[in-house]
Amino acid sequence: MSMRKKIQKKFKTRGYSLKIDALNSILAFADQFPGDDEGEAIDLLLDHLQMENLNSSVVDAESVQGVINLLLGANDAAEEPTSNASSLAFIDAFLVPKYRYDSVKKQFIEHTTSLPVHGEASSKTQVYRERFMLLLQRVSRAELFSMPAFDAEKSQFDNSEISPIQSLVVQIGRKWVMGVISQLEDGHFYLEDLSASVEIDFQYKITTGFFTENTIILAEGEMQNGIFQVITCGFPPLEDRDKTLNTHSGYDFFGNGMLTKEDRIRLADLERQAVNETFVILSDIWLDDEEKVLGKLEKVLDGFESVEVVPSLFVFMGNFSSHPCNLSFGSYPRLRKQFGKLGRMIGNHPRLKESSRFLFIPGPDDAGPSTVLPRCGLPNSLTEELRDVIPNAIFSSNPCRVKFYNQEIVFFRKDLLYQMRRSCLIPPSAEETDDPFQHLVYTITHQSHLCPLPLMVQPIIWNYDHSLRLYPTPHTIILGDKSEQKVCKFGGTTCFNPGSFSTDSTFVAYRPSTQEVELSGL
Amino acid sequence: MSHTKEINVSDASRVSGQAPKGDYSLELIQMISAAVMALDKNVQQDVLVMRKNLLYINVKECAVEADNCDGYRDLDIRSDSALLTEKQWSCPDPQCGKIYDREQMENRLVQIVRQSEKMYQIQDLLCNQVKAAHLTEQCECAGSFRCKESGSDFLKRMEVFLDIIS
Repeated sequence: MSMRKKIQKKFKTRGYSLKIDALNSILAFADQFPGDDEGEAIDLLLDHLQMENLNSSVVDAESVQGVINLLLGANDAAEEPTSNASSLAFIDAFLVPKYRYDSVKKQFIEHTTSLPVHGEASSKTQVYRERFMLLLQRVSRAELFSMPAFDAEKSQFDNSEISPIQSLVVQIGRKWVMGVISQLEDGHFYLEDLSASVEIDFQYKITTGFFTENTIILAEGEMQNGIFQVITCGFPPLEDRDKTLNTHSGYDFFGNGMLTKEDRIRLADLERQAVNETFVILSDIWLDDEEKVLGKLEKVLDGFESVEVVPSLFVFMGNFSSHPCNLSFGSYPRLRKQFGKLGRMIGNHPRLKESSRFLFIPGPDDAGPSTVLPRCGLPNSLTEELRDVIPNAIFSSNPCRVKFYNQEIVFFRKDLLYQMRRSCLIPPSAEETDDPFQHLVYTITHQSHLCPLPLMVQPIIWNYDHSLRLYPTPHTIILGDKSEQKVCKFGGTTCFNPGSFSTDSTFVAYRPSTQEVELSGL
Repeated sequence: MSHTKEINVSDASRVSGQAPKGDYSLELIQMISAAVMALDKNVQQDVLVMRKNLLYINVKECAVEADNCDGYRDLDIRSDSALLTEKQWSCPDPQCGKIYDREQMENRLVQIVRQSEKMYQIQDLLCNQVKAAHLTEQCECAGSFRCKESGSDFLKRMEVFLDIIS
């Protein structure tokens, strides 16, 4: 019996008479289910139709279309959660929304006009001021510094206030100040806040972290002979991520769009369920070292090609050449060919090519405009051959943000540990930890900034300093550093360094659903 | 810049206004200059109406290899249009006549662009003197600070490079 006749019979059995246009619509609907010989879809349609309580027993296209749409719509929705194309979002540093804190309105204002890469003089000043104001407003909520509602008796130790540096001239006694460490004169260090600066004396007790020039600190001390004698100092206290989000609502700090609370709950659920998803992260992949590096990389890819569930994301961080892109750099055409070779190597792993995403983040010495941060993605001229094989490969900026359902992940490739240690003004305190990586993570999270080094040491595009911010603190920070592989969990944040793949043959397999970091190596 | 062995120069002429097909180093320079400017929508208009202000390249030998010669040549693309039609640039010394390594020259241009970009982002701000403090918005004399090299000056310089390769 033909489907047409089947439909007519079923409808007649239920007491309906079908008009021609309705019959055609139902036929089209039935075609969506080619294996359905019994016509179960039609039965379902009839069930729904009966619930509709039609006025007459004559069914026309209009009355049946509504039900058809309902059934087909439900079908599509059921497919959504299993598709993981929407689980990952990639946000380029140059597209992160820019917010600055307005201390008068006590809220963040979004910058909506153009952001030139070559900013005006005032933009350079704003880099420092905005960093300072971001932390100042955060500190105002910290228990130690939140002002009591009533000016009751406040114990000097239970409840403190941050004094503007300007006031140190007139007031005496112990004070808390917050400022940027600046070397305004050779060998003399000052703390600068929004209104003034004061020279400080350096012999004091510090908390964990790398205290470098241009970090923002809180210092307790007393003025003596025009110099602020510091008794204790530390970084601005860290704020719990949820507290930050509850304080500011309606901002797209991360850059992947505004989410409602319901969205976040739904995404958190999906994230918990995605237990099989893995990210593989490698840093320093010297494509010009064909024998060793490409050989090792092939082994890694072979390994993941044969696992039950292939990784959903491979992150390849630079540098992609053992030789930096400087005056004595060899040949760009050769580098392009090497990328092509990498592309074909990936292409030779069909399951990875089919189901994994590939993200490329440039390193500090890779070909590109300069060493200034943020750095844009690798040039098309170099990556064309690779993209021919892997058309959906993503060439993002450094740093780069990735959203996995609800999880905020920041990737940054820079030999930060070495530079921070070198730039320290005081040897780090060994009281809580003597692990330099922990000091590093402590520093960047408390400063809410990936790279709190002087601009002379690490130049930053003035109008894009916000793309290096860590506010609110992301769930995961991946620092590609040439130092040894490390992992550090801090509050709610997981931070790890995959190490140099080319030098140490190390990499990381990360399970985002559980935030499990598998330090791996060959 | 030392002499190196002969290189194959593609047939497409520079005068045609297109980077010769397969010349990836030129494409790279194009990308760098264009990326530097493309991010700044303000100057796209200027880019379209820019004048041909070409770079003056100074090429001198450094004594590295035993068979070098002391010949040097100034390549002024601006005034010497014949240079653009030559497929290769070579040493003027009649006893030498070696061809300059174009890849090296192109890399040198790339490095100039890169270094310029870096210098822009670390430049001092000035009023009557160099700005020392980081957070102050105004000078002690109540004047505003300005860049040592302004954004528009920088971009004009970069246009030169864009010209060379297009």
